[in-house]
Amino acid sequence: MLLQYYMVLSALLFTIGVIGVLVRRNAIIIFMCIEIMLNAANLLFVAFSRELGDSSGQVIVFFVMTVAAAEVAIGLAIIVSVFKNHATVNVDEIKSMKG
Amino acid sequence: MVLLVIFGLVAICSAICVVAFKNPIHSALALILTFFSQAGLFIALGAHFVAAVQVIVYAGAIMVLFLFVIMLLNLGSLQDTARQNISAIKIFVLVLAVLLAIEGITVARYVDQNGGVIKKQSTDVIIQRLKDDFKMSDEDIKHSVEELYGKGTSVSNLTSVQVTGLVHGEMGKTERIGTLLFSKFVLPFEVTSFILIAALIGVISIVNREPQEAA
Amino acid sequence: MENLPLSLVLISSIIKILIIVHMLLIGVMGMIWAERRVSAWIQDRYGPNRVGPQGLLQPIADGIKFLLKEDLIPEHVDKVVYILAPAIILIPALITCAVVPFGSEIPVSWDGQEYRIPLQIADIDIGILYILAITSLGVYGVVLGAWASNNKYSFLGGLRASAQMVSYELPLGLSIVGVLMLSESLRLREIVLAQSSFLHWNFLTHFPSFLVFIIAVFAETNRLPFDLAEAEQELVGGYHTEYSSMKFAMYFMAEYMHMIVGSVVVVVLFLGGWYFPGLEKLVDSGTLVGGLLSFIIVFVKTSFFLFFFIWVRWSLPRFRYDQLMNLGWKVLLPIALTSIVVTAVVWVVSESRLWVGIFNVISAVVVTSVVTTLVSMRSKSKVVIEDDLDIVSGDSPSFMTR
Repeated sequence: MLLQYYMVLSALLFTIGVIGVLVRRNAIIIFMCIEIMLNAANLLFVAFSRELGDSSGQVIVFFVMTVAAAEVAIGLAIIVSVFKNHATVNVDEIKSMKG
Repeated sequence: MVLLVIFGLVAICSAICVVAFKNPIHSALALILTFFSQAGLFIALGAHFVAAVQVIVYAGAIMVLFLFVIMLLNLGSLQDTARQNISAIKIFVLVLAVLLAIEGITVARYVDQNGGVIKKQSTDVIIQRLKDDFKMSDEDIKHSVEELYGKGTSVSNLTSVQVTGLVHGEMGKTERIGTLLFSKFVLPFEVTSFILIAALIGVISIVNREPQEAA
Repeated sequence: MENLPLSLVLISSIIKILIIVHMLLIGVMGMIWAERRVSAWIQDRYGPNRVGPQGLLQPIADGIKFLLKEDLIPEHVDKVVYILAPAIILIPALITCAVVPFGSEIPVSWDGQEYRIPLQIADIDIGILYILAITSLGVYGVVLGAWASNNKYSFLGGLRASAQMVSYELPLGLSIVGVLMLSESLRLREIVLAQSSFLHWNFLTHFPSFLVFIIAVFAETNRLPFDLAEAEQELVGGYHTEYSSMKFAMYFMAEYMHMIVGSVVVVVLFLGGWYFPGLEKLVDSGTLVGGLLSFIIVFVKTSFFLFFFIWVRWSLPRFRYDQLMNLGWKVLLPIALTSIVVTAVVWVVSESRLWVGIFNVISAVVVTSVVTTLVSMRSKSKVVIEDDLDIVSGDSPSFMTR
């Protein structure tokens, strides 16, 4: 019974993240909503790990967090680089690949 | 259960705040609150080590990085208007429906309605699994049983509820995660170190490039 | 606290929380007094000695002054973050104390049975990880306070301070790993129990890690010789320029609280917690005398360590920002990493703390000299220009358009 609640919670968090990615125009906030989605997935991993009595779920969460950290570092570096060239982080205005 | 409700509500509210706030700094603060409530949810699930790592990595390092970038880019609230032709409600309903459908099918087919896979197995099988998978010795198991249920409880007389409690307690401990990390998951562990080095090198090479003239 | 009944756990926890929080606040007051008197003693002058007997009521006078000053909120700041930032820096210092053991056990009779209550609010499984997690939250108070001030100079100062704090979290965390390996547990109570004889005290076995940890604690609390955030830009700013009266007092209190908590953690991890050579049986005996004695021992060790903090502050000159970063990344981090490897290898091979201690010291010396030589060889071949020179000289980075 408890597992179902965690699944619903994870689904809700994930959809909020998806809405954020699709609706907001600021690249950094889009990034933050991606982190919300990753967290929702982590929550589901841990919930199932408790359900099945196997710690592997928690170890996988550990790896997801590490990869998320690496991805945030690189993504933010790219955003800073794009800002240097275009003076904006509004994804609607970054339309050209050149320069 | 109580913890789930409290932390779950806080998580959902702060996630909505992340999406809704105009000022990026306020969004970032709401995201920090989301990560904390997520750590609370992990503790409610008995995963203490993962909760601590969540706070250290996400709330303590990643969000500091986000805040640095937001502050250095010095963005105001003006740069961001929501798109006019996307309806948030439609996306919400659609994605939520898809996810709940997938989860509903999973629950119906694979999850035991009477409380999970653990309870179906007998006490001996579970204790044996504790010894094999978690690499616990008899001494360790006895110690944990005494810690949870008081001195004098013998290992062979545990009820199924108590054994489930034992497994849940043991699962989140650092020793078990460490054992798994270095036995079953040692290859992903080493590969993760490569990922981190790649990220380091990537960040340094991106940042050290000269900015080109805008077209 | 495994076999205590729930009601006893609840009541004892509430009492312990009240006592520890009050102790911390009174400790802050004591630190304010001690800092001024000890620094005066070092500088061969009198400190405040008029307000009460020996100036002991001076902190109360300071507190009243802070309360009565005008508490203004400038026009141009981000109000929510401005008000939140001092609170954010105070909270981590208080909640770290929840897992620190202040003593061994005291006996209590409850419901007709004898129980032993440990002098620690919560002995959680992940004790030291919790402390690391909460320490990494200390950065937010600084960076949000700097941002909310909406003042370019205090912002840059705060940014440098938070970069310093983040950089020194690494040696802080890594230097503990050697200790954890030999104590075989993350629980703080077990780390102290592993140091029951004087030769097992962790500062002997892991001497380089001890030094690294102390230096990292100095850097994390923004305390001299690492305090360029507060002092160097005192002429122009610093991250708490725009704060007045009570909010400034909260920053002030938070720094002292971080110092106190840092000292207690050092004592528990490295200096043997509540053990004293010769008194081991007494403090572990579970009698009231033993329990109180253990608490007093922790108190005395912590006070000595706080005296050391103040002593260092008034004896050493301040680090420049690039020297600070060099120290953190190029000296402390290699020492901490080598200590981990050497401890693990030597312990597995020989199971003897003596050899672990000797090899730790030798390897730390070797690594430091190798790294320093390599770094100076590399920097002889080109002129060293620091990347943040434009921050140092006060110019805006090139992409800040406002």
